[in-house]
Amino acid sequence: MNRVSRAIRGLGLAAALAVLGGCAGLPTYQPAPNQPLATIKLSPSMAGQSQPLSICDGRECYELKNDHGELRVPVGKRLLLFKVLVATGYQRMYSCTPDLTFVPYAGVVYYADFSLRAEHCLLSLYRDAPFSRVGVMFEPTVRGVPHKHAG
Amino acid sequence: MKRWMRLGVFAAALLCGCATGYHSDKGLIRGYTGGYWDQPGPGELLKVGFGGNGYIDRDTTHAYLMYRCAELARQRHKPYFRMYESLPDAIRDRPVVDLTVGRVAGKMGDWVFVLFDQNYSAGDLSAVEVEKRYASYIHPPGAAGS
Repeated sequence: MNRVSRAIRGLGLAAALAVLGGCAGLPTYQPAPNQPLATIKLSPSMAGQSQPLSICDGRECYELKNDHGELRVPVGKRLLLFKVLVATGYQRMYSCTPDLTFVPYAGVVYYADFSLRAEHCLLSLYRDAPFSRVGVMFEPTVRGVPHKHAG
Repeated sequence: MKRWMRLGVFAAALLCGCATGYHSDKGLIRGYTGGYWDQPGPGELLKVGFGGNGYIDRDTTHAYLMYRCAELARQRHKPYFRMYESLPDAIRDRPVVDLTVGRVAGKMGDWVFVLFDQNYSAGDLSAVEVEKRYASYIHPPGAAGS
């Protein structure tokens, strides 16, 4: 198992513990003064939520505060980014915790999108590309998190 | 008092027992059952969706969503539009010409990313043709005003 895989598994375990522990208890991320940061723009599906996404940096997990449709994250190390959704559907409850890992770079703007389709929920992250019609491009540092499923 | 309660129960029964019609999901009364919606971005993309209730069928949901994309193109004076099922498909420019509608949390619904074009390019759909193809779902034959 290489270093990246080990780091991703470690971040996944931290997120699982954070979710099991109740995300309401996570502290809000507060960057230190003059700390280099990256920006995550939120898609409209998340832009109206006060704390739409959370991060784990391998040691601690935090809620990210929505600042006019944008989030600020620390740079230079792999982060686990995740969302906890609990929603009511047609005669049923629906919950999911999609996640991914990436390495933010200072000054780079990312775009996070969350969607529900055919009983699946998906969190995805792209790099902002204002020069293209589509507005985003693939972020090369994004990795999925391996999850063990029962059965 | 009893009359108002009966009226309330009747209105609730009407709303709950009807399949979602072709309208926005923002309306105070009709929006309760769902409807079409859109969200801008990223870039020039528009995310267009239709959410129905438990009574609408797959074919009708599909027709409403296709028709809404065409209607939005015509409202923007764009004769063509292209649909992408996901942002990765949009980045790779892999448009689809049809949609697979499924259920989300028990409700029929789907969404698609749309780009509007002034001039035809491969993968584009004609707004006029799509509107014509699905018009019978929006204005059923024999309905008043059709």
